[in-house]
Amino acid sequence: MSTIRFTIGSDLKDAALVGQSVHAVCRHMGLSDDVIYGVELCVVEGVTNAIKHAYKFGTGHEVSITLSVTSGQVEVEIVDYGLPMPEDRVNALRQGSTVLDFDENDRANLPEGGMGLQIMHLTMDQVDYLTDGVVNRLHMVKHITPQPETT
Amino acid sequence: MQFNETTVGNILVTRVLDKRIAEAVSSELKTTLVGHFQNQHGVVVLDLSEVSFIDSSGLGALVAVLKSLQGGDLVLCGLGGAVANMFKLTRMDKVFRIFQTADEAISTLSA
Repeated sequence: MSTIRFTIGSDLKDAALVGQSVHAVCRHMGLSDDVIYGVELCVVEGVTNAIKHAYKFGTGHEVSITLSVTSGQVEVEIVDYGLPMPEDRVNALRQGSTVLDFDENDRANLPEGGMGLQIMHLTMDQVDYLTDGVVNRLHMVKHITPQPETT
Repeated sequence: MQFNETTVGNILVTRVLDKRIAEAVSSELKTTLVGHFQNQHGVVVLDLSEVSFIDSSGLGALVAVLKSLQGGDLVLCGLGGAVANMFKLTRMDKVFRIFQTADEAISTLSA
């Protein structure tokens, strides 16, 4: 298993940096484009949520991201120490929501927000969120088909 | 954000030069595009061929622009890789008119 941990301050510019870093690590590990895109997207969504909702865009707070890759799965844990995610959002993350079940012809009611949790729910094979009120952990797993070894 | 803009008739082609559209720039993208429509551009073709990543806030900004239109249209072109996947995953590929290239968009919209 290969594991790498990133720690950033709660700055949106660093969310992009983490996304690009995760992308590079997954590319180095020989993962498929679909897995790389999906994992990068979910990491950026999770880190952005931590900065936006847990820390309310306040800077200087810690967000840590741990990425582990084995032959069978990619595992991501995003930890923050801000406000815990409300229960309805946790339920949407775990069970999915109807935010993307829109009528494409009903322009006025298209969703402008709230899509990030559903994107994580749809993209990853396991998504969970745990908090003790101090430490918040977003845990995501993506199953992968073992890739041929690269030289 | 950085853009490269060209006008063909009443069509404004706006090519996004940034590689990533995410929370940090989504508000600026929305403001820029809404401004184009307020400046009487009938149709804006947003060329995303240089963009390799878009997140839900970037997508939300484009939806917000689409919903704000009082006429005219916002169409997209140049979606590849992760960007195309994102539109398909969220079903937004059914909402926006999407062309392969800016030339194809201009040709179709000018006809």
